[in-house]
Amino acid sequence: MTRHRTARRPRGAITLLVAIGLVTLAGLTSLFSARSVLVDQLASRNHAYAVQARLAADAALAAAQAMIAGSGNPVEAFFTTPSACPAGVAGAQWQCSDLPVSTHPAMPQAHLSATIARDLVRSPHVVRVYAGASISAHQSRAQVQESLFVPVMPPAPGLAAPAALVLNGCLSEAMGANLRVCPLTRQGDVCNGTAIAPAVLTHHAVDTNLDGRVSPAESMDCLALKPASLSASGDLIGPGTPAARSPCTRAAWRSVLGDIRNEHLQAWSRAQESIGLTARTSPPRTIYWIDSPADWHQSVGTAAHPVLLVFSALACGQRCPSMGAGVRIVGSVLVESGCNDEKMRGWQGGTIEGQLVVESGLLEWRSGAVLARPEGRNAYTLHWPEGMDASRLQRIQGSWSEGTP
Amino acid sequence: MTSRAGAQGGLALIDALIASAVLGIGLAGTTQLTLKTFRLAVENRQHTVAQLLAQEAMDCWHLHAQGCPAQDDIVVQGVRYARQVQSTLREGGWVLDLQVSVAWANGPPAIPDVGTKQVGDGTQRILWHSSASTLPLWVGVSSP
Repeated sequence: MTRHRTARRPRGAITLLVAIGLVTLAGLTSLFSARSVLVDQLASRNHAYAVQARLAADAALAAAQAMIAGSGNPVEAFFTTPSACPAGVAGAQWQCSDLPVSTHPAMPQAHLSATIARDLVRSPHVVRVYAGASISAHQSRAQVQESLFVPVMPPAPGLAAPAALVLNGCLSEAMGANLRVCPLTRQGDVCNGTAIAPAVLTHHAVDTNLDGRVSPAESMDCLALKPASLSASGDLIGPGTPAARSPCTRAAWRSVLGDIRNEHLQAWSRAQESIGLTARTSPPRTIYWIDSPADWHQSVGTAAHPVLLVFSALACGQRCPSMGAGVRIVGSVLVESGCNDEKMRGWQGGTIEGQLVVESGLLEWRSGAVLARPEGRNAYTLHWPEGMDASRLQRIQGSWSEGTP
Repeated sequence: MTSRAGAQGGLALIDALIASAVLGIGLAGTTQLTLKTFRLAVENRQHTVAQLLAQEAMDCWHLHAQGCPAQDDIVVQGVRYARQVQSTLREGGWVLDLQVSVAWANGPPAIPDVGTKQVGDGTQRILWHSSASTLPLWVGVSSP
């Protein structure tokens, strides 16, 4: 009897326990699948928030680009108030500025921001626009960037065989002058090897016999450089026909700089100065627009960072500044002597490793060496893709990217 | 002996009834939960599809690609999504404001989602905004 009773009771309890176990199992399965679906929903929602933040950042990017395009001001006008550069933009050559981007009318909850940056040494014509958005309600943020080509200045003409010395007048040596002019050579050795470009090129020679053309003899008379001053295979090239210099057409300037104007180089020089670039920074300053009539005594430029030195018409007010005997310039030196030979009479230069361009004759030249180098024009030769219109503001294909906010 | 056997039979019946009740109530609850989960999963999928369609339209208009439709209907896994894009020029024509809406028919949501609007008749809709620049794009072979 006792055995019977004890056998029945556990059987009922076991049935109940099995039922509870099955229910618990089914419940747990349901709970886990519900949890998994809820996590999926959260992930989907987060993705939507991230995309919306990115779309807001795109709106900020478009607004910043519209600000640059619609103002009609040169790009320099947007860099007047310097600001901290975005993460990843490091170096003394970067110029950065914040743009005041207004809120998007359909997204008042999104806080938009934009910063522009450009490399003032290598590519002042490429502006990177960094745009960001944060939506506090979603706690989402995004940053995007895109680069623009800006028409800061026209491209410099590509010269197949640039002369070491470019003049807009005649050349003569002073008594006891210590001069040296070496053209570009095939082997690249300075003053040694076969020349592949002229040593001296002038855009103006005097038609002494008034026959309407400049004969080779007249050219030779005009470019009176002694053989000792000239590398063995360097040619002296003059114009075939006489050209008037009055008014001064800046033939020498235009032959090397094309349509680049004073204000382009002045703005570039001023911008480099404003961000603190000097000959001793890394990278060093590369564009110098000089209005001072004082003689120049500083060596500037390296093979990696050649410079452009422009002695302006202001600097050449009475006479153009000379250069110290020990001064070494790697790059190009332009002297804006305004077709007035007297301003360059008795000029003294240091060693110019690159190119010397003088907007007049160079009479009674007393000292200096011009050693042509292939990188001599690199300071102002900007990279523009072949065939593009450098006078228009345009976005660069493939430059858009999403950044880390 | 007989009365005791009858009592034991009654106890077994009660055990079975209690177990059945526990099982029934438990299974009913889990079935409800599973159905709700299933509904939520369907909504998630529909919402994800709607987001992808909206993103696709935004990307297309951002690139100014020819042939971006302003309005179209897409059927994905039996659900019809109505996509509509509105574009407006601003800032002297330099900015193209974009508004993309994707609406689809479904019952009221199991759990209302932020950013999704209930339009009525069980129709849900997402509405996204952005802007694109109208500056010309240089399509070259190289960039600095």
